[in-house]
Amino acid sequence: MAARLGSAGVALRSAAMNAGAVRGLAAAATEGGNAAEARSLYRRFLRAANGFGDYNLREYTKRRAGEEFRAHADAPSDKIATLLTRGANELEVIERQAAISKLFKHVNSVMDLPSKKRME
Amino acid sequence: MRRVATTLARNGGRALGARSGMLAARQAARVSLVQPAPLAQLRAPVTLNMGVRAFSASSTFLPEAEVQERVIEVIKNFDKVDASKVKPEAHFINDLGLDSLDAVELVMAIEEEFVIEIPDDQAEKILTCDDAVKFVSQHPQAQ
Repeated sequence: MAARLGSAGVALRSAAMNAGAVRGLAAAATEGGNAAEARSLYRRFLRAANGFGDYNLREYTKRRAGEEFRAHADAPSDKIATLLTRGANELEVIERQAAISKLFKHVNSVMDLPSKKRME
Repeated sequence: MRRVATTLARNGGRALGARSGMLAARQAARVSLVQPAPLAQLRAPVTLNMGVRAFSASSTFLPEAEVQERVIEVIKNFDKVDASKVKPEAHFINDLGLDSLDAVELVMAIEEEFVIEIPDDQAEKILTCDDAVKFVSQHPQAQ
């Protein structure tokens, strides 16, 4: 249990950092060639987040990534390259943490049930 | 005494049968070493075993009507979408009021619904419900 919480804590912290990295991605999303790059990076964040078995970590990562991308939706064009690089670094953190989280058991959340069953 | 004799005869017969069977097998093995069986013969049982899995194209595509219904359902269930605005020809950004990141999320939701992975360059081209329906109904692994 301690190990599980420990890994979750690390993952959460790294997810928070990663959110910072996502910054600027949204910015890129509104620009020309960078936009496609930012969308692609965002897609990779969402895919990486799906690597978390735990509902809370998974949804937190997705939510945080979305927040950061949108917060930087109109970043000045000279910042975009920096933001994209930071995003790529944070993505690596997420991928690593998702891989590590697979080493630990997680308990399914009620939110993991299909929505019809959840209503019963 | 008679029973013993019959048993003996039966066993003897079996042993003989086994021996001749082994002989036949050995001969067959020798024959197959020298002269491999024709390819068609070797492949026949394999084809039979794989009868359950369809590798042919036509049978694995989902019907377009079903795809459209499910795609629209996914889009209606998306948080930021006003369900009443969802139409087959609706554009994610222009008609449904989403931003480009929402569009990415929507395409990911469609991927999850049909258990497929849409590569980046294809995902970029999916901007309306119809685009998504077209892509999924042409995807052989969509389920």
